[in-house]
Amino acid sequence: MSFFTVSDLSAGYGGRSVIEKLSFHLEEGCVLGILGANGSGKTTLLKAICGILPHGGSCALEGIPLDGLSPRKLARLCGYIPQRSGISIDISVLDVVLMGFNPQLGLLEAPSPKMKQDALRALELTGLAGMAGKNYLHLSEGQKQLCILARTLASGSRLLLLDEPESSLDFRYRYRMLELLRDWTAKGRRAVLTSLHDPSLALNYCDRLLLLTGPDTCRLLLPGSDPLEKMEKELSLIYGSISLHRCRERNGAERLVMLKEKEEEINAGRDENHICG
Amino acid sequence: MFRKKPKKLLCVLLVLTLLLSLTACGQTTAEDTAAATTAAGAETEAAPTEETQTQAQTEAPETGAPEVAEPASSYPVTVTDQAGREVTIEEEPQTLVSGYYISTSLLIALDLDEKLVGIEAKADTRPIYQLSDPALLELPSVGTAKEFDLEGCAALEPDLVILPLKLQSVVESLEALDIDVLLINPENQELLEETIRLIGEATNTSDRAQALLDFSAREEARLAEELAGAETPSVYLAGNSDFLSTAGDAMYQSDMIRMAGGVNAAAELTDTYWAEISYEQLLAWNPEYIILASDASYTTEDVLTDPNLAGCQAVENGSVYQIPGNAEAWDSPVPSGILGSVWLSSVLHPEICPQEDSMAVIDEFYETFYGFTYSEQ
Amino acid sequence: MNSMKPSMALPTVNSKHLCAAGAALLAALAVVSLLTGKYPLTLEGLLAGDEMQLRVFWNLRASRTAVGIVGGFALGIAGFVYQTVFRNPLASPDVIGVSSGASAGAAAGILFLSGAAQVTLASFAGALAAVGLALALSALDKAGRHSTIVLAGIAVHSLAQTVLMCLKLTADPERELASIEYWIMGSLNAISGYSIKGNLILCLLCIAVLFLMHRQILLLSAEEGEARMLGVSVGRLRLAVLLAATLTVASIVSLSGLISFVGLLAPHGARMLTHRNDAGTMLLGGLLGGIILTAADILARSVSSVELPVSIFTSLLGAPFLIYLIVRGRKET
Repeated sequence: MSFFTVSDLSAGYGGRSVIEKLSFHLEEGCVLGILGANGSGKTTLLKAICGILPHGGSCALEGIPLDGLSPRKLARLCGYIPQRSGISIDISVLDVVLMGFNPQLGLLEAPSPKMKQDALRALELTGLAGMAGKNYLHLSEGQKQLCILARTLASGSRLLLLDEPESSLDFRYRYRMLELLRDWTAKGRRAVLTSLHDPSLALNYCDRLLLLTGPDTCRLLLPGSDPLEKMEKELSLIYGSISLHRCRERNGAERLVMLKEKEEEINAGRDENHICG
Repeated sequence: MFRKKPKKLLCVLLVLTLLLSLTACGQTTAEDTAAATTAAGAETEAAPTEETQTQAQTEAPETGAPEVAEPASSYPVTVTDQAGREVTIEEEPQTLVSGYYISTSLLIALDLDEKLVGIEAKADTRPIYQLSDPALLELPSVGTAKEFDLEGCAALEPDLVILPLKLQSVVESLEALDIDVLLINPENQELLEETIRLIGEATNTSDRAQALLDFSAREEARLAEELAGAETPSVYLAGNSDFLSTAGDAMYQSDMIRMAGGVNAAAELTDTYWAEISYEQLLAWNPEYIILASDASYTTEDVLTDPNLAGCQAVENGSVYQIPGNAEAWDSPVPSGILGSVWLSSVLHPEICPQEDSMAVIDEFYETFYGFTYSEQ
Repeated sequence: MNSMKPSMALPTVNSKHLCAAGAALLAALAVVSLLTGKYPLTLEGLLAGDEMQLRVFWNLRASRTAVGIVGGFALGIAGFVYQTVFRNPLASPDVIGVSSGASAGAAAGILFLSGAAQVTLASFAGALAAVGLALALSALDKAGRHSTIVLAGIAVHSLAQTVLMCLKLTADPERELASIEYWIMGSLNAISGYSIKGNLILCLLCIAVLFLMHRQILLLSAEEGEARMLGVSVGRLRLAVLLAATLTVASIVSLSGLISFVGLLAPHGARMLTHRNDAGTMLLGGLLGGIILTAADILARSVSSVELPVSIFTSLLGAPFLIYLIVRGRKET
C-alpha cells in the first residue's frame, strides 16, 4: 500500500471542473512536484486534497481516508502552505509559528515552553533566527513564506502540501527551501507534495513530477531516471518548445537545465553537444 | 501598504462622527432656546390676565359665560395665524377640518363639532370625543402630523382647515385648491389663549371663545386667592415616557404646579424641554409629591415599588398620584388645561381646596363647554 | 530625525507597561466617578453609616461606576474580537447587527411591554435574534466565508432598521417615540444596583471566555482554508467566539442603550499603541474602552443640570484620541 494515494479526484469552482478523476500515489520519503501551466489546477488539486474545496473522489494517508476527518485530526496528519498566508493582523513571528501547534493543543490550552523552543528552532532552520519578536506584517514576502514553512515544519505533520512555496523567494532561498523539504522528508515516514513555479528547481529536487496537462490527464516523470527525450516531450506539453540539458556543478554533481526554445523551432533537433555552465 | 486605506476610511468616519455629534448638540440648543423663550413669554403675560379675571369674576360670579356678548365677526375677516400668515376668510366657514387634537377639542368647546367633516388620526385614543360627541369618531381621518393625507383632506372640500404649525409644508398645496388654512401653535398657555381667540374670530364664535378664556382666568384667580399664604410643597412631575424624565421650570407643567400651590422640584432646570435626570438627582431633590403625567406609560404602583426610590419623601408617604386622563390630558395645553391645576390643588391642599369643590368646577367646565358631566363618567 | 530611525521612534514600552498605565488611569477615573453625582454625599455621612447616603452610594453611584468600567471594557474587548475575526479594522458590533437588533428589541419593549427590566430583556433578545439570524443566513453558504457573515449582517442590520422604523411610526410621539430616541442615544442614568447584577455577571463571564479563547481568535484571523489546515473548526469556533462577543455587547447595551464609537475606537487605539494583537493588546483595548466610557459618563452627568446622552461624549472624547494616534502613526512610518 502506498504512503499516500489519491483516487478519482475531481474539483472545480462554481460547477466548472478544473480537475477531473485524477489518480496518483506517493511513497514515503518522496518529494512530489506538481507542474502545470497557469490555471491548470495546481492550487485546485492541493486545496481539494486538503478538503478546503468541495471535491469528488478520495485521498488516503497510510490507509486513513482524509475526507471524513475533523480539521483537528486532519491538521495533525497534513500541513498546508498556501501561496500567500492570509494573516493580515499585527502579530509576532513567533506567534505565527506557534499557531502550528494548535492541532496538538486543547481549545483553551496555551503552548508549552517546549513548543516555544521547537518554534525557535524551526525559525533558525529556515534562516529566520533572531526574527521571533518581529512583526510578521513587516517581513518581506519571502520571509513570510519561510515563516509559514517554519510553522508547518514545527507542527509535526507527516504530509506537507505546499502551493508554489518558492514563488516569492530569491534565488538562494529557493534552493534552501527545497533542501529543507528534502531533509525533512528523509527523516521518517513523511512525504511532500508541492506545486512549483520553477521547472528547473522541480527537475533537480523532486523525486517525481506530476504534470497537469489537462483537466483529466496527468503524467508522471521520474527526473532521476527518465530519458531526456521523454521528459522534454512531456514538459513541452506545458511549457511549449523547450530543451533539457545535463550540466555538472563544480563538484561533479549532475543537474538538469531547461531552456526555452523559439516556438517555430518546435521540431528542430536538439543539440546533443551543447555545453552549458 | 494596505493598512493605509482603513486609516483613511477611519479619518472620514471620524469627521462624520464629529459632525453628527455637533448637529446633535445644535439641536438641543435650539430646543432649549425655544423653551426658554416661551417661559419668559408666559410670565410677562400673567399679570394682565389676572386683572381681566378679577373683572370677569365680579361681573359673572355664577358662571363662566360672559354677560356682554362679543361683537360677531363680520365677513370677510382677516386674521393672522400663528405662523404669522395673514388669512382672509370670505364668509363664515360651514365645513371644517382639524388636523390636531388640540384644535379638535377646541372646536367642540366652541360648539362647532357639527361642522367638522374630518379630524386627525387616532381619534379613538381621545376619550373626550367619545364623551362629548361620539359622531366625531366616525369622521374621516386626515392623517397625523407626521403623515398628513393631503388628498383625503382636499376631497372633503372643507371651507377651513386648521393644522398644527408642524404641517406648514402642506399649506401651499391646500391654498392652491382654494382652501383656507390656519396654522396654530398652542405650545403653552399664552399661545393657547391666542389660538382660542384666533379660531373664535375666524369661525364667528368669539363670544364662546371668550367664555372659555374667562373660565380659565376665573379659576386661576380663585386658586391664587385661596392658596395665598399656604405652604408650597415640592412636586416632581414625572414625564410620559419615563419617570426619570421631567419638566423644567420653562414648561407648561411647571405653571400648572405653581397655580395649584406647589413648587416644581425640578425648577432649577431652566434650560430644557423634557429633561432626563438620574435617580440620584431625584433623591437629592427629595420631593414631597410625585405626580405622573396623565399619559404616563407606567403606573403609580411602579413608582411606589421601585426600590431605588426608597427613602424619598413622596414614596415613603405614598404621595404619588397620576393626573387623571379620563377625558383629556390636563397636563398638555388643551382648552381644559386649567383643570389640571384645579385637580392638583386638591391633592396638595385638600384642607383648603376640598376634592368636592374641585370636582364641581370640573363638572361645570365640561357641562358648559362639552355637554357632559365629568363625575358621572 | 525620527524618520531616520523608524524602529527607535517606537517607544520601548511594551503592552505590560501600557496596561499598567491604563489600569491606573481607569482606577483614578473610577474614584472621580464615585465622587461625582447629584446627591450630596459626604465622607462623614458615609462613615457614620447614614442609611440614605450608603444606599445612594452603593446602589446608584457604585453601580453606575461599575457599569461604566465593565461596559466600556466589554465594548473594547468585543470590538477587538470583531475586528480580528473579520480582519476588518472598521468592524464593530453593528457588522453582524447587534446594535440595530438591540435597538429594535428595545423599541418593541418600550411599545409593548412596561418597565425598565422588560425593556432590557427585550433589547437583549433583539440583539441575540439579530445575530442569530445573521449567523443562520451565513450558514447557507457552505464554504463559510467571512464575507458571507458580513453580508448577512448588513442584511439583518437593514432589516432591524426597518423594523425599528415601523415601530417608531406606530409609536406615540409624546411618550414612546421620545423613549425610543433617548434609548438609542444611550445613557447610564437609570442604572441601579437592582437591575444590573445578571447583566454584569453574564458580561464578565463572556469576557473571561474571550480572554481564554484569545489564541483561537488569532487563528480565526487567518484565511478560512489556512485556519482549517491549522486544525481549526472554523465554522463552529467562529460561531462560539461571535456569540460570546455578542453576549458581552448585548448585556451592556441592553442596560445602557447604544454607546457609539467605544467598540470601534478602543481596540484600534490599543493596537496602534502596541502594534500587536496579543492578549496584552486585547486587555489594553478593554482598559481604553473602560476609560473612555467612564470619562464620558462622568461628563454626561456633570456638565449640565440634566443627564446628557453618553454617546455624545464617547464620540467627543474618542475622536481626538484616534486622530492623535493616526497622526502619531504617520510620523513613525
